[in-house]
Amino acid sequence: METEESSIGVQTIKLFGESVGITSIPEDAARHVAENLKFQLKRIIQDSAKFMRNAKRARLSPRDVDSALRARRIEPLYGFTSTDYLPWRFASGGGRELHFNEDREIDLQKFLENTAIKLPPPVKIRAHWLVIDGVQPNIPENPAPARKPPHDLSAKKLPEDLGKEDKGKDKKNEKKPGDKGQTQALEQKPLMRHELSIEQMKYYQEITQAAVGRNEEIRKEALNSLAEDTGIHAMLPRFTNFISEGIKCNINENNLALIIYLMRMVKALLDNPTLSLDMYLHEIIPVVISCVVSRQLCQRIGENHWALRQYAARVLAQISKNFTTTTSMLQTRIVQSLQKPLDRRDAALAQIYGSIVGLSELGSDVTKKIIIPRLPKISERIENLQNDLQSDPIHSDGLEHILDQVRKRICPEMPSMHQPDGVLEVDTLITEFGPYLGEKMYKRLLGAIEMR
Amino acid sequence: MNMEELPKPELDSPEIKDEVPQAVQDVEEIGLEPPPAEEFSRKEPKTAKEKSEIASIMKLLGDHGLTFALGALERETGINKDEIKDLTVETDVRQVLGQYESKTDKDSYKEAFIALQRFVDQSLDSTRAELSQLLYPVFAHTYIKLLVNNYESEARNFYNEFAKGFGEDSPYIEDIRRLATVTNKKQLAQNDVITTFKVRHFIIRMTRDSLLSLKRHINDRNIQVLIDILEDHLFIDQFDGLPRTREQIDAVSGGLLGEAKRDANKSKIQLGLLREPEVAEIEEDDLMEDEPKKKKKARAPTLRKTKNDGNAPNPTRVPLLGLQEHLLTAGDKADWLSYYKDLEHRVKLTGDQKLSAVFYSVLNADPDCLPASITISDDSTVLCAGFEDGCIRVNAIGGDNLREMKSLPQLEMLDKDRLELDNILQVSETPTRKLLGHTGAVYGVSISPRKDFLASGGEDGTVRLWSLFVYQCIIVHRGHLWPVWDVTFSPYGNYFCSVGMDRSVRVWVTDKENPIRMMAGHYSDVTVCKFHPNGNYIATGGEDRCIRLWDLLDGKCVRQLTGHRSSISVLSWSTACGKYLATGDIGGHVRFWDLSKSTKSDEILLARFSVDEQKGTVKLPVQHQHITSLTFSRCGSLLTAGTIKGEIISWDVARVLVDSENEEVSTTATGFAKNYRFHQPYRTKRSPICFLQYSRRNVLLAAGPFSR
Repeated sequence: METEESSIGVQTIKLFGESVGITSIPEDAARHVAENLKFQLKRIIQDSAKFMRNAKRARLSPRDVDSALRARRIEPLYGFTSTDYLPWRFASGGGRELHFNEDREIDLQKFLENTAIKLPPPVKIRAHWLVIDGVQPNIPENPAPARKPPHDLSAKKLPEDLGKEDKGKDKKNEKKPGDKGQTQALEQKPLMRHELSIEQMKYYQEITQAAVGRNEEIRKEALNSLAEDTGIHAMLPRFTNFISEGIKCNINENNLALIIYLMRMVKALLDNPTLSLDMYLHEIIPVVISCVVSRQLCQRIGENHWALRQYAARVLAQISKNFTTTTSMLQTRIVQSLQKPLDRRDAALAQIYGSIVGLSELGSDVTKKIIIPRLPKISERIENLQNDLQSDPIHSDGLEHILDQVRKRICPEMPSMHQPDGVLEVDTLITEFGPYLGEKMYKRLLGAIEMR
Repeated sequence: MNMEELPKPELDSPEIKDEVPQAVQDVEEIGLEPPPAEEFSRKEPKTAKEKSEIASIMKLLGDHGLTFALGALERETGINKDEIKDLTVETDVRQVLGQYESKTDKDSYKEAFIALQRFVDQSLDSTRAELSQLLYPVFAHTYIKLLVNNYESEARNFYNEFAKGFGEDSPYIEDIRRLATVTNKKQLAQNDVITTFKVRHFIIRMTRDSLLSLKRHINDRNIQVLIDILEDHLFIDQFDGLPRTREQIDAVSGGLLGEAKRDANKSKIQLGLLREPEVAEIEEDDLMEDEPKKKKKARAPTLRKTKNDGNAPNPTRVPLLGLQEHLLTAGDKADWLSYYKDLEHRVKLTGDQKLSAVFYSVLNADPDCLPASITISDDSTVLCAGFEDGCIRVNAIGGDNLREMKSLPQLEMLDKDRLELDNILQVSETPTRKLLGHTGAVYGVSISPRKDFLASGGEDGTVRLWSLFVYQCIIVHRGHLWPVWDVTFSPYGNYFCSVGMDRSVRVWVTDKENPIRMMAGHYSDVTVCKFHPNGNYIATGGEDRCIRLWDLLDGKCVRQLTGHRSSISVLSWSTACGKYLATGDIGGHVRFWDLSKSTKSDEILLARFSVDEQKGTVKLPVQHQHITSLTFSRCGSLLTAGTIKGEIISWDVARVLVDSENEEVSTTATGFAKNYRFHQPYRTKRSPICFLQYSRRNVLLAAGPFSR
């Protein structure tokens, strides 16, 4: 009838109570309140959706909730006017898990000094030709022409490629596709323009500055422009160069924030339907792979390089999906680079994590063929690392992340998880995952089942 | 001491009486005195049945030795203890109280539903589809009954066990999901949809034979639960003839309370178009005829409606000022003339002729305050947008500036005899005006055909009429209790109609404060309304997934169309002939109805379209398919829909009509017409299509906010 996510827990009610000074709410009372609260919330949300639909919007806004409350003759909650998504943070500690909305402090002094308030530009109505005689004219007001067909083709061919990928691996035959890629590039080279106009240079400068600058709003605009605008093809080699040099440099410097910004640029370029990164993959792929499996990406322990690795892994999977053809063998080559840390004896936990994430993003076939056979080896490696550095916080943190990923991504692919009886056997897990990992996974899965 | 001041005698046990404070006890002693006679007569039970009920309760009290309570009851009812000895207490006290409890035990509900399922499964192939209509309403009412009787966990189990059986593509999936949000008795009363469901009958149509077999089955087995639900909550409209197929039933099911009754669509309606006024040359003598509208001019064949349609209503049936030629001003005549001129230049959008479209973007709107409604005048010169902060912007889009009334000194200089509308107007200096007045979002705007008035309605529940000469609010029509969702002007002016969250449809005239018609019948919010091109009827659609056609003359509901599976968001009449209606819902489905042909609801539907067609396996999320605008081309051959994600899709309905004549509209497996797309979808960059209309020359005009 309802999923875990759509219910409000008794704990939550107790927490709400604590926040207003009621410390001892009986279990029954809390459950009663929780149930009623859930119902009332659903009612308000259903009503709010009415207001959203009649305003012809696809996104619910705080205004709709206010309207819904007003229609029920309830005083609306003033002061919630955010037009953006609220960034929810997650924290856990003391056995409790919390999702909260980070409320940043505003420096009043600065706020008051900033007197130059810009008036918003006046509302205007402008007409443009959406369609002329059945064709959408290619003007900035109209969206880019229909998506490239290769996307679909590569998606359809994927299973076939996977079949061939094994052959390629067996024969270690990589050179041919590379050669072909080069000839293709040679054929198209004369089409490229090498000189940029002043406007283009300015655009390049603005975008690159915004993309790595401090202001998140401006960065979003810049990335949006990269992802949607037409006609930036001429600047593409500069952008890819900027990105690859930037990432190389910042991996050296362990500057996590900048690497993330640059990675987002890659994603934006990749999303732009009018651009084709075909010719620049040789610059992009190595740095993306570095972001996935690099030994170190940040300076301090607490920084969340795990998220970057995941993000980069997803970008990599997208590249592989879009550009793998029967001739380029792209996926095979990416798989080979990613699996290296799994085979090496001196790999760090972060690297193992990266390659597990990266490989599993590439699809269930890759997971089955590459990761699962190597699990016992990985288990051994982690155990060794763990024994060496038991007390080191980096490692316990890393272990947590790896276990999480293994549970999320690999467990669904394991044959033992599809047993009809669904009973977990520690022995089967140990044979599949290796002794160390097997035991940990057993505990984790049991925990998950109990939670349910 | 006055008896009225006394507290009611305690009906509790004597032990509690001991704890009653002294003061109260004193009062009670006084209370023992026989109250005045009139008190008796008021409280005395009237019928023998009531008496016997009370008697049985008194008997119960006596049996348990609760003498104080017995005494109190005696005093209150005036029935003596001895009196009841004469009365034969035939009814057991349990039975008396039992009518407030459920008569059936909790497992029998589930058994009854399973029995019904089995009966449907085992029925003949020919009647199975018909009988399976019963499953959803019986399921829903069983769930509600379980909750009413406080069997919460049984209700949850019942839902979990059987809800899945209806599948994701059930016509009632929205309501099935909605049922799940209610989990106890208290919540039942607070859910509007379920309240409607509880008090109204769910309508099912089936053949006499199927009904007989059903009745025989449940009577044989004496499944009381089913008998109760059938009698109390379902209305079975039986008919003779062949049972309908699953496809036929599927096409009409989906309404909140099932489909329309057979006789709901019986009355005759006149959908023909009226003759347009003749204004080409000013011929004074023609005005002398007794029926000024019925002038005729023989000319070369033209698209102009030079005579009344055979099926048109009498032009005086509903007084239409906009058609009365003696009332036309020079400006009106010029408007008609330009309309006729445009007719001659109209592009015929069939075959190889390609579509052209202009998009009006509302730029720089605050993302928190986008336009909620946009409309463009029929002659494509004025665009009005109602914003979410309550402001309305009027913009001239034809290149000229807006018209306005001359200033006072200028007016004073005018000759008093020549104060005609055309003389007191001038072109203003600005192309845009802002109208302030609404205190909440403006969900509906509509420009009168003469471009003299603008009607608007919004979240504040008011309908406002603005003058487009002085750009001020002329009147605030209060009446709607909750937000107004749509407002629309009659094609001949003077009347306008508003619908809203209070489920009513109200028709107003420009010179009266109160509505001249108020129609109720929808079971949920009414979200959209449109006048028929001949001004005699109004079509409305609502969240009860039902479309109704109302007669403006007597306010009666003359048609009721079901089949949509999610809330209806848009309506459009074919202005070329007035026979066809198209409706779109928030789930991306469009239905194309022919209202002239038949009175049988399943024959009215010509075709179903889906915006999702031809997309293959990639399914858009439902909230992105919401159809926000819908219009027929002026020639009636195209039906164009706009979605919330900025897609414009057209279907070649002329071809659908030809195919339906030959009865071979090609459909997909799910019943949607396929291969009638006129062009591939056109997309905007980031604007939802809030408004669509073909200009008089058949250029598509679309409008929406450019949102970041």
